Amino acid sequence: MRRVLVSGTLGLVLLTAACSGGADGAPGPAPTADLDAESERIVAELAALDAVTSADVRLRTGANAGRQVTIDAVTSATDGGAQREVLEAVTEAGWHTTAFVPTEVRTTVVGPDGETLDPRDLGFPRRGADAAGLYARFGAPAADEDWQP
Amino acid sequence: MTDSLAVSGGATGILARVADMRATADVLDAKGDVLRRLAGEVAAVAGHDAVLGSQLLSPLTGARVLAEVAEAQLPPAGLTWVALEYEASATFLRGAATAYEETDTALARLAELRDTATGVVLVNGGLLAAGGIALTSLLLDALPDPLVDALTPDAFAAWVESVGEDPLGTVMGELYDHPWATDALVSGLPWVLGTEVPLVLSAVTPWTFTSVPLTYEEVVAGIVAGGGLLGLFADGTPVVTPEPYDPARYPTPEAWQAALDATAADSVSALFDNISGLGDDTGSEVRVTAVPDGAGGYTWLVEIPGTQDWAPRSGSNPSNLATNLRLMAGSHGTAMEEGVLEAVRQAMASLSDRTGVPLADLEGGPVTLAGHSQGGIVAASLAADPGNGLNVTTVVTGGSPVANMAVPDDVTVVSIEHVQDPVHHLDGNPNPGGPNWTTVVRDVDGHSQVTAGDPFSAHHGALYADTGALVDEQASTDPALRLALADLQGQFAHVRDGEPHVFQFDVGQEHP
Repeated sequence: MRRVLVSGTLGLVLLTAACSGGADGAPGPAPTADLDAESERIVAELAALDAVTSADVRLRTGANAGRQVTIDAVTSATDGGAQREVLEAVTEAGWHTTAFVPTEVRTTVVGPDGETLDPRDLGFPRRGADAAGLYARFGAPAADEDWQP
Repeated sequence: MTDSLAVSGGATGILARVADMRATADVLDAKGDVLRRLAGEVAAVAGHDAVLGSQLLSPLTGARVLAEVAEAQLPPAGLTWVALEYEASATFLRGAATAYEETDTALARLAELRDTATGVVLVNGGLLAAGGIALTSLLLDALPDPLVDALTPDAFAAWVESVGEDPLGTVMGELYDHPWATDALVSGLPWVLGTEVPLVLSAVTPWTFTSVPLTYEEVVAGIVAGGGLLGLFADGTPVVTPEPYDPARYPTPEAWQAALDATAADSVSALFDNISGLGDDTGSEVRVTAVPDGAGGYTWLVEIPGTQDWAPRSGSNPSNLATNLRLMAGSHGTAMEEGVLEAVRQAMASLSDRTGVPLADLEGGPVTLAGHSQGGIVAASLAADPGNGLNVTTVVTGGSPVANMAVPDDVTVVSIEHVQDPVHHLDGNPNPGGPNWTTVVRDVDGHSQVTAGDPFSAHHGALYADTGALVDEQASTDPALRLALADLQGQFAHVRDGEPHVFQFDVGQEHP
């Protein structure tokens, strides 16, 4: 009975919050300002890499996006192996955001001739690299070093 | 967590079997008619002039003919008897089919009643509990600690404290553990608002309020209308523009187009993977993929994202809360729907210009609409709108409340849902179980991307891409999935073997 009462009460709270835009469903979403600051930090981190000529970073959280990192980078590297190394570095930087533990890191690296790499070129099954695969490749995320899949 | 999928409805569902029973009954009836006609022809032999004449010339032979004619009509193998057996079997099958249908309908009504009753109990119990907790908390705060300790058992006090500290977390946990509660709440709300609230208001005020039987759609329409008075939930005019080529990233437009084309979806998983990346800071996005059909024509894959703007006051992004509410109220022609249609039209016109294929031919090509969350609602709503001008053949949804959408029987619907995801329950009803509608459900409790106790962590697009991979995998062994995805798998095969062309559009909206 207690569960019924609680779920009823709080169900109303949830519906009200959802309709007023208060609940975006993200587990512990960070304020936008923090996400913007973290995006800028990652951009600066990537800009320090020799082969990265530009990077656009976007962090978003929500019921639909989960905790998502998107990085679109451009590289001066012309060799396929070197481009994959850049992709690996970019993807790792996204995984190690301090804003949250990502559910998904979506990255692209574009070479001088327009060739485009994404996490599938690192062996991930999809364009969005998943948390379990990222953990296996890069270890625990910087946002929570105790985190495990 | 489980990697197995529960598949219901579709071509192997109960309603499909009922249709099969009726079809079988028709076949038996037809065979019965043929046998009855043959029996008539055989019986006519007994009255034939030659046979009657032979009775005088050779009574024994004539009698044997009459006996054989009679035997050909009687049990166990006589034509008339077998015809009767066929017709009786047909009647029995039709009766059984009707009984199945009526039982199914009755069970659905019972389930609806159960959900409504449970929802009413939940809402009222919740209100009472909320009031009780608030009063108890006030009382406990006001009284001296020794008295509080004496009055309240430790467990109860701890519970009140824990709920009070994190009420939203508590409800999230309950919804995660009991996903049916969302269905019940949604089912019960129209009765509470339409019947109970007027009764209570009549009792506690000097005025009389008449009870009004409300439907779910009317409640949501009421929210939209009420919000409209405050300037909320406004719908706009769609603005659809091809995603601009970015010379800072790609050396040529051709290189950029090649990169886009390389992302054409060739699996259910890839559909949701692409959708998960749609939308940016400036607005919504829609992808339209032209897939060569191998015969000079094209089929189309349309990818539609979920809600991105949850603010009640609508801005420039039509993938917003207002679109959710309007679609759930049963409206057609929202800015997002119109935006999707405009994107498809622009893609078709552009492809016609590029390839020389007549636009009319492209417009008649089969269209698959795929969407996550709100994107799935948009897809189903477009499919349910016969005036949209598209030849929609398939709808794929992930975590979308689309049970109330009147999608025509000739459109194949595949709805993918997670057990712990509350969003697809927001229609308050189970998906239709007809031959064209297949629902695939996965339990994601314990998945690495799901946070226990947080139901919305079971909703995000990347997780539906992960489930899509299971759907792709099990489609080869599950007959129901194989049948449901047959057309889609054909499109995916052409993506892999042909040269798909991906169009990506920015979709915004303007307000007067």
